[in-house]
Amino acid sequence: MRKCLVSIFLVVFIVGGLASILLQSRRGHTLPSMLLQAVAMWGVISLIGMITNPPMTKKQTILLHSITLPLVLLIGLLMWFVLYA
Amino acid sequence: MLDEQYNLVLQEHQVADLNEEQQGILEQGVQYLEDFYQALEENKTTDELFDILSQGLYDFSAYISSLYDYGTPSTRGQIRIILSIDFQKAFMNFIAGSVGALLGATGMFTTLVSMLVAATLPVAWIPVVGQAITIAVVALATFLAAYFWDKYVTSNMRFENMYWNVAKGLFVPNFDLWI
Repeated sequence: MRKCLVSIFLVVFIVGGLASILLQSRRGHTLPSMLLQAVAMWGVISLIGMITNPPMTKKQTILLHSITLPLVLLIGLLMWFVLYA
Repeated sequence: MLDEQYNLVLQEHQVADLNEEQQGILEQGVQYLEDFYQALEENKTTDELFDILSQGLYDFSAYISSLYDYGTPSTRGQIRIILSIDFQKAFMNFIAGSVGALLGATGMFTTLVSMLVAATLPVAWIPVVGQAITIAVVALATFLAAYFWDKYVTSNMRFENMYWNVAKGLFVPNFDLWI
């Protein structure tokens, strides 16, 4: 499960990040690019958190990421409104 | 005057060999120049002038520089400006945000947050809450890092970078075709 999560987070970071960069380079700072950046950041932060912290149970892992993904998206949304809208 | 300049560019670089898309880029570049001169005549503010320039003049200039440096598109049809200066800016902003994330999301910080919440929560949920708070804080820091990097660093990128653009365009796959 740990290897699977590492793969998922890496893919989310790379694909989300590249998509965010391409969007931003084409259209400037838009809400979709900010949300994609948020998803990419969620991937890399979760990855680092998973590596640097003691292992969690499956239940804890699911709970953690079901909280943090919406939370990070919300932060991305707020940042877009505050910084660019 | 602009028409003369445009025709000169066509002659000097044998742009008659350009395909429709490349021709469009050149015409778009000339349009940007005309908009810019128009804005100058209307006494627009510096910010407004810069906005007009940044809309596309960078790409146009980089494209022209590639013609200077690498010959005509007909003989080097695969050579294109791949990474525009806007792409570089976006990439650098993203990297700035990522570096912010790397600096912020250390195990030490997570541990600190976990300790802070330890007093009020059941032991089993400390790692979850600690990491959730850490991720939220680091995400916030990430966006701010990218924003300030964009505001104070990449906004100062200018035309001198266009040669770097061209050089990279030789080795990097054509992202333009992906979107």
